[in-house]
This record gives sequence, structure tokens and C-alpha cells, in this order.
Amino acid sequence: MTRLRVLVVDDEPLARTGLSELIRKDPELESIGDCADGQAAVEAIESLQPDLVLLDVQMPEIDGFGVIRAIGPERMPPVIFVTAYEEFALEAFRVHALDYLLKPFSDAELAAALGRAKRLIRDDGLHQLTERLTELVGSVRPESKYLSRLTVRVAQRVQIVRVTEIDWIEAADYCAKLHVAGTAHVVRVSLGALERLLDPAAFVRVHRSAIINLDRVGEIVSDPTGDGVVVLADGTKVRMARSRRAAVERVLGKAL
Amino acid sequence: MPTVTLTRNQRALAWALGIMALLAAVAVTRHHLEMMDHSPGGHYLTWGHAISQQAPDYILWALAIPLVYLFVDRVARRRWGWPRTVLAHAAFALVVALAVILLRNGWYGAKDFGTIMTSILPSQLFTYAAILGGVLAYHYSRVFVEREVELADARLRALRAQLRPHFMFNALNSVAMLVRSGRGTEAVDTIARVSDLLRDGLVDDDRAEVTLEEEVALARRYLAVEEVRFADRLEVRVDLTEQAKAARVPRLILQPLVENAVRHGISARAAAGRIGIRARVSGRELIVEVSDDGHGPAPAEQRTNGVGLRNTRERLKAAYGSAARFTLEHAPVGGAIATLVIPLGHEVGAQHAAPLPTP
Repeated sequence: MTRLRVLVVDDEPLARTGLSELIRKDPELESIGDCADGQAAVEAIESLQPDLVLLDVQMPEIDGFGVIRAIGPERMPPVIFVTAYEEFALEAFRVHALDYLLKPFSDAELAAALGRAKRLIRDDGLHQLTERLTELVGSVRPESKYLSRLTVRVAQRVQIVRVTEIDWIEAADYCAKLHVAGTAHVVRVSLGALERLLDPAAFVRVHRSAIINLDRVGEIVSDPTGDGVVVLADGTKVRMARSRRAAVERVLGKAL
Repeated sequence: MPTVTLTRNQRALAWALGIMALLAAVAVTRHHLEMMDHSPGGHYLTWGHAISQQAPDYILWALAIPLVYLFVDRVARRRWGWPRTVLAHAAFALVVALAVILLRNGWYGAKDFGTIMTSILPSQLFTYAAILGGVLAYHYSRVFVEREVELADARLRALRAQLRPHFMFNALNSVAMLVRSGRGTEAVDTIARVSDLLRDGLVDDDRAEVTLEEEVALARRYLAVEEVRFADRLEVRVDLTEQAKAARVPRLILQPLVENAVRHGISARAAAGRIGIRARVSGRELIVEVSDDGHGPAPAEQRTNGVGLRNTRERLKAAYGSAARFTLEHAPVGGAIATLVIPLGHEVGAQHAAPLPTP
């Protein structure tokens, strides 16, 4: 029997390393990594495709719910929420019959939660889980608001990019290329995930492989076939697909 | 809070007016009876006459009560020294007494200035003194009660912050994880720090003021627990001058600021953060800064209207009036910086009430 690949997400170092340690002790599980924030979690889930995620609810920038929203409930692996005390979250977990662990938890409580997750995965009850996660993400307050900052790696340093600084975003395989004032930064987050995390009133997907910041749009040239080109303030031309035209018009509030 | 104060003021005014009315009734009755006894040939003073002769005085003085109260309140807020306060009260007493006499003369007809100064003024000043006594007693009892309530509030808030479920459970989780990884000594240290913090909140300490050194020690115990939780993500720097350490500050004034710095500077972001507590004395003022290097304060309404910070401002105002200042700004190097400026050599509310006994 193959071991289940588990990802641990928690912003507190002790909690994170401790949990990974416990996972490693279970012969049926394999710890494939730990993440200290929501963005790292989205990257890891998309690239590593874990079988199970132990997900802290309260984290800076992208919280536990933000992670699920970014990945999309239908692609989200089974998840056990880990939380110290979030009243509204506990209520939501109970309502949607999702598993959660309360910090601090005993070894027995962790083992029980892991046992339930294993059974769910082996009995292939995942479609139910997708439904519940969809309901959960729909029910939690929208105040787990839109992304305001992303971290990018520049050489050995971690740099912070404010989303308002982004001109446009280009898909690059499973990653996304942020174009910021002439430089491009690659984040290992899919364009779809970014689209779900960004404020739809400011960022619009104009093409399968491009999101633009509406603030940077200089003009939009459309041809009779319906396709078009968005020209940004710095002269960059981004193709706009016919199929995305309605969405762009909706955000702009006028017909093109 | 304002509504409570208002009704309390109104109630006090109603009492004062009631007492004045009673005194007026006694005076009118006595005047009426005396005039009856001493008037031969059935000539006596009617009730109407008695009232018209006695009532104006009482009505005028009743009207003066709110004025005297407002004056006492203003003077107390100014926090002048004794000589200036006494002088201000003497001047105001003279103005009010003369005003009452002049207004009354409308009923009596003019009297010459000499008579006013020698016969009427002293008795009017005496009346003023009696009213002032009552007003002062009321004012200081109110200030004392308010200060007690504020201190109790601050204690409750600090305790609640220490017992905030999220904080407590995460701290306990840190202990659990330390035990699991065999780091027993660190686990015990953390338990001791959490216990210190609980004791700080529970200990029955009624002092309104402590030294800055004590206050910072308390904030450090809170930060110590957070340091375990955030490990490499939190760095605390404390820098106090010797003079600043000895300065006296309202108890628990730093707690909400430090908590705020942790919440916005550390918890709200993934990168490591630094929290600084710095204090120095400049002239007659103590300047305390609590800084974080987080994202900086959000639009004013989001941060300064937080209950904790609004209370900080209110407590400072109650204790030092306009002599103390509190600001929360973007730090030049990024992040937020909260600055307290507290006047030195001012016992909190020393002019208001007897100092509380120190244990």
C-alpha cells in the first residue's frame, strides 16, 4: 500500500515542525513538506499534489479559506483544518461536516482525525468532500478578502510585490509571471489560482494566459471578429480573447 | 459613558436645586413670620412680599450652580499649580458675587457702592463659598469614581488579552509541541512565562501608576510567550534610558500597544518582524515609542479606532489632560510607530484624589 503524501501548513514554526514530526511517525503517511503561509501552500498543493493537507485556518495574507478558494474546491485534496480558536470557523466545519483539529490536540485526537481522512481517501469519498468544501468556501465571510501582497524570490532574497504594482500577469506552464514595471517575477502559483485570489474589480482575465490590471490599461482595440488587443500604459500589448470580452465589459461597465 | 455622566450631572443638579428650593422656602417662611411678629397694629408682610424679597437671591444662586461647576471642571482640566488655581477661584467668586448683587439690585433699586462692598458682598461671597464647597465635593467624588472605573477597565482588558483564547491555546500548543520534540526545558520555561502573565492579570494590584520599568517588564512577559510561538519570526528590542525607567506611567498603558504591534507587525505577515520599545526623557516629558516593522498602520479608522487604542487615548486624557499625547503613524523605516508623550512629575490624578496605598 502506498503511503499517503501529507502537506502541513501553519504559520507558527513550532506548530508546523511539530506536526510534521508527528506525521513522520505514522508509517502509513509520508510528510512531503511544510508551508509557513498561504501562498507557499497554494504553490505546494499545485506542484506536489498531496493526498492530504493539514491546514491552519489563521495565517497572514492568504488564510486557510483563501488557500481553498485559490486551488478551487474541486481540485483541493482532502483537508483537516487545524485551529486554535476561530468560533465562526468551528461553526462552519460542523455545519459542513468537515474534519478539524483543535490546538493543542492530543496524539489520540490527531490519530483519530488522520484515521478518518485515510478511510475517506481509501473509500474514495472525495466527491462528497468537494461538495462540502464548495459550501464552506461559499459560506465563510468574504472578509477573508483579496490578496494584497505576493512574495517573490529574487536571487537569494524574498521580495514583496504589492498587487497594485503589478501591470499584468502572464501564464507560464503551471506558474505565473508577474510583470512589475518592466521586470518579470515568476511565482509558482497557477494563473487560475491567482485570478481567484485577486480583486475582480481590479484584475481581469482577458485571455486563457493573461490577467491585466485595469489601472494600467491605456486602450482596448477590438476588431470585428470579437478578438482584441489591450494596450497597457507602458505600450505592452496583451491579446484579449473573444470569450473574455463580456467579462471585461462587465468590469468596465460599458460596451467595447 | 457620556450618557452615564450626563444623567449623573443632571441628578446632582436636581439635588442642588432641591436643596436651594428648600433653603428658599425656609427663608421666605421665616421672613414672613418674623415680619408678622414685629409689626404692631396688624401690619404684616404678605407671602407675596416675603417671596419677592427673598426668592431672587436663591434663584440667582441656583442659576450660578452650573456655572460654578463648569468653572471648577475647566480649572481642574488646566492642571494649574495651587497659587494659580486659588487666584482663579477668587477672581471668579468676585465676578459671580458682584453679578448676583447687580442683578438683584434691579429688584431693590440702586444702593451705593460702599454699602455693597461692606455689607452685602461678604455675605454673598460666603454663599459662593458654600456652593463652591458642594460643587468641589461632587466634582472630586466623580473624578475619583471615574478613575477607579478606568483602572478597573484597563485591568480587565489586559486580563482579557492574556486570556484571549487564540493567544492562550496557541501558547499551550507551543508547550505541547515542545514536549513532543523532547525540548522539556523550553516547555517548562514557556509554562513559567504563561503563568507569570496570568499572575500579572490576576494579581490584586490597585496602583494607578507604576514605573516605566515595571510596565515594560510586564509587556516583556507578554512578548516572551509570543516569542516562543513565532520563534524566528519575532525579535524584541527594548531600549530605555535610566531616567525613563524611573518615570511613572499609568498601569497597563503599554499592553494594548504591544499587542497591537504583534498583531499587525508579526501575525499579519509571513516575514520575520521586529518589535521595539524605546523610551527617553526630554525636558519635562517622557517619550515612549512602541514600533513594529510590519505593513504600517492601515487607514486611520481601522487602527486608531480599535478599542485598545481608543482607550489608551482616553486614559491619557483623563490622567494628564492635554499635557499628554498619543499618536500612531507610519514609521520612517516602514511599519507602525505608536508614541506616548507623558508629562513628568504629575502624579496621575494627584490633584483629584488621595494617592492609592501601595502594597
